[in-house]
Amino acid sequence: MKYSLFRFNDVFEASAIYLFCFVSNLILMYVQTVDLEGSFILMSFIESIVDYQLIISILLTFIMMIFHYQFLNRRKTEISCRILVGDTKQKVIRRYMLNSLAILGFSFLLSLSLNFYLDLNVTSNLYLVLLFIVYILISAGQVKRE
Amino acid sequence: MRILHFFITRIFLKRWILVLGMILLLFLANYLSFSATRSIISTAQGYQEIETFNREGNYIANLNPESEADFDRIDIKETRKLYEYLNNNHTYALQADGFTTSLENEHDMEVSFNYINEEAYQLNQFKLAQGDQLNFDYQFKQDDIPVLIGGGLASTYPVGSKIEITDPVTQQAVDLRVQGVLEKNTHRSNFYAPNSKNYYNFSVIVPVNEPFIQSAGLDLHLNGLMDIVLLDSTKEEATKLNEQIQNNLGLDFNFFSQQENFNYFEDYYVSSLKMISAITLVLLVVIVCLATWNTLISVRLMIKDFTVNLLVGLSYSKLRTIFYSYFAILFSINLVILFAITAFNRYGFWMRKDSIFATYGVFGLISMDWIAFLGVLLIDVIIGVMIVELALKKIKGIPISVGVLQ
Repeated sequence: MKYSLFRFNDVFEASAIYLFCFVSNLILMYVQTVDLEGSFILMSFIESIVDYQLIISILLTFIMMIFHYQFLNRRKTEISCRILVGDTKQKVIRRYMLNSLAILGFSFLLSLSLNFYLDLNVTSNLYLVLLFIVYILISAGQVKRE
Repeated sequence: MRILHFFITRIFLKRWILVLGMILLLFLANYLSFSATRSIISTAQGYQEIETFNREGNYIANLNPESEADFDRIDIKETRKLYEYLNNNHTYALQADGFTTSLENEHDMEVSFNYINEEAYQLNQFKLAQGDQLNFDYQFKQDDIPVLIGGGLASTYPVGSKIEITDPVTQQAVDLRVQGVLEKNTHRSNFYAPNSKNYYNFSVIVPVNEPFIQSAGLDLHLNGLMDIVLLDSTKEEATKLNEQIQNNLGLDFNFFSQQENFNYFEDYYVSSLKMISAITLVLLVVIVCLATWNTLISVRLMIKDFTVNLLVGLSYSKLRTIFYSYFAILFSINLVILFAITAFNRYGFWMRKDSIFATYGVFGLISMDWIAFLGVLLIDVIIGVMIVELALKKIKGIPISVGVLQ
């Protein structure tokens, strides 16, 4: 993470958001497999939430979009300074994308442990990974100086 | 008003992604609170209904879930014998719903025939919009059968009109005479799933007496037996009946007393409601934390705009009013979306011709929905106050000079 725009706090915050999205998706999937036949009241309440599992999971990924947006807005001055001392915009963007992908990969691998623990398919979170990659690509276009 | 318009268009919407994020998070909080409140209200309604049956000396039948039931080997002669025994030795409330048949009506809905005996009818005390209460002393096969109909059938079959139909349980051609019309949205909750209610808007309530039961088919006999309630009885009599059922039909029933039922339902309902409340609370806390995070980010990115305005004369109290108005608008947007989804769901039952769930109300919403909306509004106020006060505390914590320089 040499010359990275990410500080420890940012890495922590981004990982926490990725993990939150992955874990919520897995929990919503897991709840569908739990046998709640004993309590119809609880079952119908939980059904009213898990019926929209896909929508809820996708809506929650929007938090990551907010993270990218605020992160790049706060780093505008730093990007300007870097370019001023000889760095290039392309290199900053490349480093930003690689760092973001590394955080995403790390969080995804960490979330796999929950996949194994809950005995869920390892591909359950893959669609979210693809969505997050799209977010990274979109946000890479927003790497601008002040 | 102009300053609010300025803040929304020039400051908040300039960073629309944060506004959209906040709307989505608040919508999740609203939807969750709405579902939870509706579940709680629905369960409370179900509990009230079961209380009308659960009285001292009453025993509610319940097929033993641990026993093996082989319905295929049951013969109609055996069930007839059992009902004869019941008529001779017990007073009982019988109610069997959901025998669907096609009966012409203006909404083209499938009509459900619901059978009820006099004792169950007295306990239920259906409220009527028109006409008179049922009488059970008709001569089956000779007289017209007086029936009550749901509100959705009232325009096609007004009080006093005759319906000629093949009865779904006796498979005989019968003449039904409309005696009264039920109030709209009259319903019955399932004892074990009070969240799921059967609405009687497109139902025909058929009174059953002894000759009718004896002429009916196996479906009504078995269906009626599942929820039968022995009235003014004793544990010994209930046990004796259970032996009769076991000997004749090979089915094992539990007949729970008032106290046993009270303990069972109290335990079942209360533990379910506790779980729903706990899940809702945890999820709400998570969502509020995310909304707070979003607010703090917004303050961090917009602090320059806020402090510039404070520098040129905007007071903190005015800023507080702007924030409250802004959140009131966000919550209103969410409530409108939630309202539209709920109305669409209710309307969906009409579109799918799902007569058991089709309900009447303003935009198809019933009282339970409106109460749940009030609950959501209350939770919104709490969340709104928390977020706004936190945002203002954060803004106040940043000196105006530092904010302007950012």
